[in-house]
Amino acid sequence: MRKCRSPVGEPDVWIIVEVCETSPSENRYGPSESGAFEISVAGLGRYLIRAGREIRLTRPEDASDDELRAWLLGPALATLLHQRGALPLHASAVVVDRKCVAFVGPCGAGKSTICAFLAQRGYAVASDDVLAISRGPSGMPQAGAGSSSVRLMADSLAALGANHGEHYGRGLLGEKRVLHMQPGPVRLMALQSIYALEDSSDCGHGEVVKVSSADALKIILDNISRPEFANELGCFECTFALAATVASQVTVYRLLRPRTLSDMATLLDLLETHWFRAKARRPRRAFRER
Amino acid sequence: MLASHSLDLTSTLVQTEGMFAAELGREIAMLNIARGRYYVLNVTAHAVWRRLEKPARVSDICESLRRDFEVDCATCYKETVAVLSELLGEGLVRVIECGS
Repeated sequence: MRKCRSPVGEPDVWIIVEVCETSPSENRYGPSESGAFEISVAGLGRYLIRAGREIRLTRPEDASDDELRAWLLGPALATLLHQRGALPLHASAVVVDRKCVAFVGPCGAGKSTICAFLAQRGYAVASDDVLAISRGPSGMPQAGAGSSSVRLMADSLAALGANHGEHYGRGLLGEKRVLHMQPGPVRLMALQSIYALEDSSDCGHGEVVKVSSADALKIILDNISRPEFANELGCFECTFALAATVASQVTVYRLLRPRTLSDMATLLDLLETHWFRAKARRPRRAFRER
Repeated sequence: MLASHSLDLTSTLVQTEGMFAAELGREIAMLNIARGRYYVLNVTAHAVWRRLEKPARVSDICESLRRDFEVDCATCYKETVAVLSELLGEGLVRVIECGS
């Protein structure tokens, strides 16, 4: 076990790594006998997550570092955030004008790819896979910067002209390679907007459509990272309440675009134009108040 | 599940216990963990729902709504009963029978 002194004071989260002889023989998640939440990955390692402050990883020496990191910054981090009452959104995000803009969608939708292309235009990557959302002092949703490494398929790497992506993964990483980007600012940011990626062949080069609060809530709930863990932890009500806050305070859009890498520049132009034109709309009312 | 109750001005209803509510702007999101479902109530349904924290008669709900919204008596009654029927159908409110 090795402890490193934090350069910015007392650490927020302790990650303790211990080497053992063997890896778990089967996958398992749920409360452990010690009271921590356990995530065991067959053939890889075992994570014990406790009180939103500590992740203890037990691993064999020869387990894949990249695969372990993917589980640490994915399911283990999501569990820790659930324990804290935060909302772990399965999203990739960039920093735009010191605020966070997130992209959500199912695995393979292109979240990481869009962020990697935006990084080429100078936007810092705020997070990939799990974006930590919490309530700020004023009650407004804020996002915490996470990992700036993005996971991409070979065709995305080729389109980026970055064939040097590290690691040919398996398991959680699948066929993806890890591309380490310039780290963004280590701080909390206002969550500016969320874009839900949708494939569409009849939307020209792309289209941005604002959704209602009710649809925004559905999009957010559909993209919570590991909601089943929140159920196991008995904190889904808290997660639901925060999701409703995000849905009512943050503008959520559908980003319809053709599923092709060849016209990415046009899509990014559309996004950049949208970021400087988006305006809030007044809500409709059923009855007119006195 | 459709409600079997026929509502009138004298019907008395109350919110079902065990629901978790979260503000969603002017609407409200309701979570029913037991059923594994959630609902979004629009402004009108929210206004009706808020008035059912304690048992209330349909006539009292309508009277309260008309104090806060510009709506005529017939429209208010019609809309309120429609909302209550939907809430009943989803198990978000229940009818209190006479004598219970």
